[in-house]
Amino acid sequence: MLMAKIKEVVADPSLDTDTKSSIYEVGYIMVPSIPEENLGGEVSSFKDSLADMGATFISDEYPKMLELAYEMSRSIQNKKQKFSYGYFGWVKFECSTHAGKIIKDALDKNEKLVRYLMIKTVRESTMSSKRPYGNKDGYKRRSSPKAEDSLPINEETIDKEIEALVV
Amino acid sequence: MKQDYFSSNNIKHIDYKDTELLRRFLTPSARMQSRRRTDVTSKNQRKLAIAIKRSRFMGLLPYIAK
Repeated sequence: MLMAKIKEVVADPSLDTDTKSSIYEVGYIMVPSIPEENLGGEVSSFKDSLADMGATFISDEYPKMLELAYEMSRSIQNKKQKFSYGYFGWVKFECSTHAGKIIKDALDKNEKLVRYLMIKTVRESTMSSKRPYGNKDGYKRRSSPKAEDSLPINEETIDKEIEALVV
Repeated sequence: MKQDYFSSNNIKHIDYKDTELLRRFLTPSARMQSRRRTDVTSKNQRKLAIAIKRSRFMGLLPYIAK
């Protein structure tokens, strides 16, 4: 009885990790030695290689030249190189967990990349919309005296109040 | 009263690429601020820590600023 149940679970295709698909995001830094005019071609070939390995694209951002927060080193053709700049871009895609492993191995070998980060994420955009600094209480405190200032000021009533204070 | 920035702004996922947001939770020397200072929930503090570490790894944020 128990063995039959185990066999059922093992045979269940929905529980097979190879066919289970996930959403991944790959953030990458391309080497700055690529000329700006060749960057488009490099990005499209990079994306084509991901598509060949079974990735279905959801969203992406074209790489931009960026000054890195610290110097990074990477050995390219058995030569250690240091980078302070790089083209940072990202791509979000859906693929099976098995294809995810293959993509990771391919990215490790890609010598056009200084560094990459492959993470599991969600389909919707995770970037938060820009908001003004400060909390709600801060705004309330600032707005309350302004409301008082905007009231019309009667000079006569002020004079009377001053006289009352003096007397 | 303590107010969680992420809950009050309805942010469910903290993105490592959102450096403008992450910088708010760093000290001038680029260290992560403690939960006592950030006033975020423990769950969001953990998510924040992961996002900052990912951002540092990708060179978007420094590990240390002089």
